[in-house]
Amino acid sequence: MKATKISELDAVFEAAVKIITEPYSRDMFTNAALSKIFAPSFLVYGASGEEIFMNFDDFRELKKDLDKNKQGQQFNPGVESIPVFRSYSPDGSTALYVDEVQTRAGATKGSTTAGRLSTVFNKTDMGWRVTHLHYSTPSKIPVKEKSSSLNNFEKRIAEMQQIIEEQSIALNEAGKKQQAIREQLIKQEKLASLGQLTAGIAHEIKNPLNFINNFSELSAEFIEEIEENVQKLSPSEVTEEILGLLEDIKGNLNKIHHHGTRADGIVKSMLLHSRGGSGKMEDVNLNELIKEYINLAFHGMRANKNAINVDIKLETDKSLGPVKINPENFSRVILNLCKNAFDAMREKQQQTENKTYLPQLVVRTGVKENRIIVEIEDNGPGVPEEIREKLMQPFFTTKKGTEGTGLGLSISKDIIESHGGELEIDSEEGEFTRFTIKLKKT
Amino acid sequence: MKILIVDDERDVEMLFRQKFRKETKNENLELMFAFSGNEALELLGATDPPNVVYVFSDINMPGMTGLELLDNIKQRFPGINVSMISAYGDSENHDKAMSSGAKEFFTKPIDFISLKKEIRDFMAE
Repeated sequence: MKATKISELDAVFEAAVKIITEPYSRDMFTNAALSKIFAPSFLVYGASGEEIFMNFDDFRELKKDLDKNKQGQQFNPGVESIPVFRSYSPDGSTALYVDEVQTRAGATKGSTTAGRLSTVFNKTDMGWRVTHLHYSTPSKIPVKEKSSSLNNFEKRIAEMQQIIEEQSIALNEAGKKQQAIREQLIKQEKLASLGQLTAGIAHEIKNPLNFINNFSELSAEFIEEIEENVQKLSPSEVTEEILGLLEDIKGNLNKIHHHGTRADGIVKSMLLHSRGGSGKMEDVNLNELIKEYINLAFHGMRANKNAINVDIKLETDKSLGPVKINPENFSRVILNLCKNAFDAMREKQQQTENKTYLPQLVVRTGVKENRIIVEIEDNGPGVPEEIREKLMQPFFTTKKGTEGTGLGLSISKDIIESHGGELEIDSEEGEFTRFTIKLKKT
Repeated sequence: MKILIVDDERDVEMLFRQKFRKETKNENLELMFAFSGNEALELLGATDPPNVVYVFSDINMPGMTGLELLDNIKQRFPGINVSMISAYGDSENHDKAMSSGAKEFFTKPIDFISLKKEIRDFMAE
């Protein structure tokens, strides 16, 4: 663009800057004076929402207001505008000026405030005129200088942002929890179907066990008969050898029978659990039941991944007579408590530096203050006091991910209470956890 | 005295024959076997009146179950005693069998001492 045109443009720009930055005066703000600067249709934006006008009357009003409110902050004459950007349309009809405006803040001599001024010019019949002007002082304006409504608005936005952030974090966590619960449910569903399958399999296992046990028993009887017949023969080296071998076979058959009976016992316990119905209260040899189920819990743990070695000590009170319990439910409590103990001791073993740590489970039965006591004590990491209370609440679990349902202990507590008893916990962090079942003596 | 054992597992015959070797040799006991409910009913219906006095039946069998067989026998041959021998020793099966007129309920693996006692007591009567 030609230099003459640019100087015309600059003259209008200087007048515009003056209008914006200098205090109100009647002469400067006449319609005639303003129309030499602004195009017939124009828009001026200031830094705040109120500073907007499209006609001279509004502009004058606003200017007067600003002078009142911003006393001391008003720009002084002699502001300096430093060009940042200049753009002219190729046909010479439009121009854009962007400037940094250095002003002296009136209150403190010498201090400057940087403002940014964007101005759009259009070439009209009368010459260059401003069609749009935007002035802002973004960062240096003290907060109190902003209009209070804007201030509040920004505060609200900041608050909302914080709330949204907090909620999104909570939502995220809830999502993770939900995912974990879903996985848990799928696992439970699989286990339930496995349980039904197990019941069917368990029954079918009884059939081959029937043959194993009975044929081994039968064969042992036959061997006795053979022995009787051999002994009728005149003794010789051969008869001695035959008798020796028969003795061995009889021993083997007894072993087959013994282990078949064992397998039958395990199948019986499995069925007891998969049936799931409410069993009846019966007189039970508590020591035997506890021994059987601790054994079952231990071997169940050993058969799973992350098996650990556990020293199991049974200190049962032999004088304990039959106890009236619901064996189906009560055995579930023993299994639960043992499983928890094994899990806790495994955790301690994995975390501890101490290589000599040996997990130990002590189970005691006895009578105290006319009540039957069963104690299950592990030397695991213990339970911190603050969560001891919560431990028996449904769905409370310290096990990560899908390892625990948070139901084991609450169900155990319900079962013991349905026996008219109590389930108590005692623990010392780093040392032991002891669950005590107290039953009424019948 | 003839007794009939009903079970879909064929090895049962070998087991019973060996277990009752002495009784079948010396005491007037004869064992018969059927491997399904239908086969058992055919056997019982072959002579009139049936010469079997006691039936021991498994419950879980393909086709007619032991409990159905029990009902059938009780209906057609009310004079014959029936006891059940089952791996399913739960109270539901037990109660069902007893209310349908079963004499005894034995569980698997079979305890032959109590089974022999039952047969001996029956023979004594």
